[in-house]
Amino acid sequence: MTISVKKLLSKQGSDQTGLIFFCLLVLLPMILGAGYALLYSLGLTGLLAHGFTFHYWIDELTNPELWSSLGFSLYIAVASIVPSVVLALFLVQAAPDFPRRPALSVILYLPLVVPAVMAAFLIFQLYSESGFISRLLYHLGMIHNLHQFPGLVNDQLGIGILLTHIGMATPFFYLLFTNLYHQERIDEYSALATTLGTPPRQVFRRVIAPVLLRRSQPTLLLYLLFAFGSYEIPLLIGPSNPRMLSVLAIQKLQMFDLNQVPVAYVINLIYLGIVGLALLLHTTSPEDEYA
Amino acid sequence: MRNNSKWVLKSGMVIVYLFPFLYLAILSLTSRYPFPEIIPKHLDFSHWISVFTGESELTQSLLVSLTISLSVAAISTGLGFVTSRAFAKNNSERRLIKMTYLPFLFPPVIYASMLSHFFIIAHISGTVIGVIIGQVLIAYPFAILLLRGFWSRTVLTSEESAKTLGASPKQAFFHVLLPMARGLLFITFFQTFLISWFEYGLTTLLGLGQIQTLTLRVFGYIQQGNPTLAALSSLFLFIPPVILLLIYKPSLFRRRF
Repeated sequence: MTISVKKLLSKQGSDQTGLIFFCLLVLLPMILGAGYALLYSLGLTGLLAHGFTFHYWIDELTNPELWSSLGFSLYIAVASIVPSVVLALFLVQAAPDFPRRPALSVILYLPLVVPAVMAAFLIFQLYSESGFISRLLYHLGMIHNLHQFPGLVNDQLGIGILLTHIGMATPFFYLLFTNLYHQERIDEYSALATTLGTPPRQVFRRVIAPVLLRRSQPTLLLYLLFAFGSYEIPLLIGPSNPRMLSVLAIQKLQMFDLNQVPVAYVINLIYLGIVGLALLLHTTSPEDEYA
Repeated sequence: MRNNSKWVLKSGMVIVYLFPFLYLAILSLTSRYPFPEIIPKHLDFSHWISVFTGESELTQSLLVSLTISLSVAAISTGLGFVTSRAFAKNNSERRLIKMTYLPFLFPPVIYASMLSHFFIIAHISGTVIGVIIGQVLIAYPFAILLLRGFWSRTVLTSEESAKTLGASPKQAFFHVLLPMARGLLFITFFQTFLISWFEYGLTTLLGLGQIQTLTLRVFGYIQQGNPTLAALSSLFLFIPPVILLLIYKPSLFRRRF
């Protein structure tokens, strides 16, 4: 398809071209991908297709592995975001102006440009049995060999995954909250509340935290979904059982047993259903985030 | 007292967020790092030297990653600009914006797993072009969302005024719109570059493991149990975004949130 520059820049040309690209690169792949997954999961396409069946859906929905995986993903999402948000809120109250200082702000921005693979690797190197913390404790005389150090990576509770997410999310929320803190003039409201005799703890609970949490709601939800669907971090430092939903789906897809392919698509569609429902239930328009 | 606690807080933040990078740099200079050494006894610069002399496979991965990420960022930013303009002039803008969020319902790896069949049919699986197209599917909607804020009434009026005063569409674009959008275009380029630069799952599935970007190399070295090369490639993965961050840090967060 040849598009002349002149046509592209003309009013109608650019409008139509923009919408054509949107249909080709956003809507069409979504429809094709979801449609193909649905047909595959119903036995209507694929190498082992034998005609319409709910067999794969029923098998997977009654499989305890799916539910433990789902529960583990939800646990990781909530357990990563809650401490990060609480920590960030306390940091905002203690030091709302730190990110405005050039030298310190660079340090706070650094975790935002750390890829998930690298963050997971760092946590592994710091918290594994032979990691830096274990070495440090050995020299402090608190442990006498590396096996005495509790395994914090590839562990059943997903501590390594949580540490990685908290390490990445806390500066992110701190920066977000300090921006909102100044945008919403929370310092002025806090000063007013203090003048009227409200104790500092009440100012935090009734003024600072509610305003920041309400204004950042869409971002909090998106981050929750991001943690829920994270792939690289649990793949590297997560437990082999239970596995997070995205890891489970991709591992089933890559198995030699072709019967697992439709099952992988069932998991993908369940994931889509959960996330779609979460966004549907969220009444605030996500558009506000970028306004 | 309050100043003291602020100093402690500040120092804590510096240690927590700077130390890991320093540790990574130390790891990249060790060939042997037995327990319980804290500082390695022997430093080895050979891996660093091999990257700069082009002998390491990391050099090739660095070039592949740069090619893919710069292409994805350029395509996504360009198309995002055109599409966000079309959205701003469309009566159904709100509905279109909501549809733009659709690809973010999935993690990229799940999205890729649902599309891999079509990439195989199109014979672009396992190719650089395939990986670029796959990553554009994620980065392009993100670019639209970032750029849609640009098309305010003032901008649209300025464009119309330029045309009324005799400017051609091309002149209005290059002399009015582009200078006004320069800052936001750079931020969008930066953000979409990062999306591509960090991408792992989608690249693995659509590249069939044949397109070895830096992220895939890091992953490979970790799985091989080679912390030295994993640390070295992690640092190479980290340096370009930091440079971009330092250039455009002031406006980056303010614009996005």
